[in-house]
Amino acid sequence: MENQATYNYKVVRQFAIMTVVWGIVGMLLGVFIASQLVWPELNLGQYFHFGRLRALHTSAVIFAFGGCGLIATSYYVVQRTCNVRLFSDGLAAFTFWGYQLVIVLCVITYPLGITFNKEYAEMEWPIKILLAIVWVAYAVVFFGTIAKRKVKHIYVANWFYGAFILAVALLHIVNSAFVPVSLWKSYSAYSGAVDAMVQWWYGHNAVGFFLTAGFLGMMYYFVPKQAGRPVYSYRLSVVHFWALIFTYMWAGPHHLHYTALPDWTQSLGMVFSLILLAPSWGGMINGIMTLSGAWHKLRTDPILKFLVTALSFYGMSTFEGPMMAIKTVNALSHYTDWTVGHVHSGALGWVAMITIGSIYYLIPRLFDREQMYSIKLIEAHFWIATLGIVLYISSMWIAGVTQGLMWRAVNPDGTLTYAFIDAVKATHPYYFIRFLGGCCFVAGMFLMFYNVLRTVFDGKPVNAPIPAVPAHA
Amino acid sequence: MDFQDIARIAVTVISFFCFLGICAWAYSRSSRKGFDEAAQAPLLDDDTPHGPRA
Repeated sequence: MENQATYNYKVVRQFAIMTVVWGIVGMLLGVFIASQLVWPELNLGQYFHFGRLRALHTSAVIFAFGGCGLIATSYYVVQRTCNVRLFSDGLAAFTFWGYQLVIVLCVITYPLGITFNKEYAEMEWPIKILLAIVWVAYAVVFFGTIAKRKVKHIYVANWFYGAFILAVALLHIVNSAFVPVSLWKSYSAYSGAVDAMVQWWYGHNAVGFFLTAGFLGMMYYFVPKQAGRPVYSYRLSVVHFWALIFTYMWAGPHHLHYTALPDWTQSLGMVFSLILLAPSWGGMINGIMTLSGAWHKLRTDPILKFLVTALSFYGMSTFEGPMMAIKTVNALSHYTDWTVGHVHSGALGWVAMITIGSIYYLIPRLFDREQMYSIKLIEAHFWIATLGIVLYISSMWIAGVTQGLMWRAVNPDGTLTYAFIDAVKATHPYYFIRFLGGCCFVAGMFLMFYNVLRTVFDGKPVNAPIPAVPAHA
Repeated sequence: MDFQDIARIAVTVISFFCFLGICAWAYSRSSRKGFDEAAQAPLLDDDTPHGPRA
């Protein structure tokens, strides 16, 4: 009977702790492959060389760290804003163990060279099927909870989480269409330019719905809660949501500029990428302006610093992205480390920082504490993480533009000015700076891990009681 | 123009007007009160533990 009166915090706790654990694993892998680029001797044998570990790094940080963070926060937010316990405890537990199994299987198979060969979707078909089942279970738990809510209005954060869950299911299933040839080998059901377009329809919408819509769900709950202020403009959040939904699906072709993709498709992708600037900045302004009247809190509250800095990086990278989608800019930036810098300004600056801020908000509440073990450590984490990002993205900008300029330089007689190795040599020092930036960021994660462990051991796991009446009835 | 082209154009145009409709609805006077309440809702829900140390 007690179950009826409390929220299910157990599954939130599990996902929240694993967010930190997988964050450390994924970012350590990132530092390792960054050091492989500085010191190629570190490519140890066939299992641990860059080509195999890079896929493991991207999947670990996006789907293991980011995914666990999204599922943890979505389970928390949907319960608190709907005023009911999760739809099914059993199914929720299944999503946790199933999702962890998918991650572990990826950790094992990627270094073995078992790969579907699609970027950010390298898992082979048995793992793909398992993930699809887990994801459908997640959707059932989330939407089931919304269906039995005790509050009439569905809070905007849930709209974003819902769009994220639906779109990722669609993307994963369509892009995964495979023809199996053995237990651990299959091929894409598509071919040629169509295959490339499906891949980048998937790839960019993973950015749009996994790395953007999902984390905007986080933003629309945790920024108002931590600032103690309502969303700056709720009506803007509604327009923001639908603008993203209507435009994001079209931006994928900008990953295939100057390829075999039809020219009109490339131009369409470019135009929609430019249009995306509007909803992105609408959302960023809505998030940042939520602090109006509470700006002084930024001075003393490092969690709020994480959340607001995340929004600033979101604004930066959603400005940079559309610029890079312009074909003439892309002619310089494509295939260079500029792209890598851009991705990390979004991934470290936006995704990681909003997740870290939200997890710092959650952990004490899940373990019956009023606040984290040490606020000073959060402050230290914030500054070391920010320093890491700045080192990372500025070095990659310089390296990328250098590469782009050197690759396209031609002599008066039409021959290339530089050999490829010249550009490699020119970027070598920046790879070292990038490595330092990565070290800073991962060091911050270790501070977080310590802080979380101390909070967990000081507290005790609780399932908070559900308030009898909806709070705003 | 074959049917596919017409269908594509129709979906695009309908989506666009649908979006304009959503904007008009979001900014209409009648939805203001509901939205203000919705924005306040998470803040009225006290989720801070007042456990042993409180």
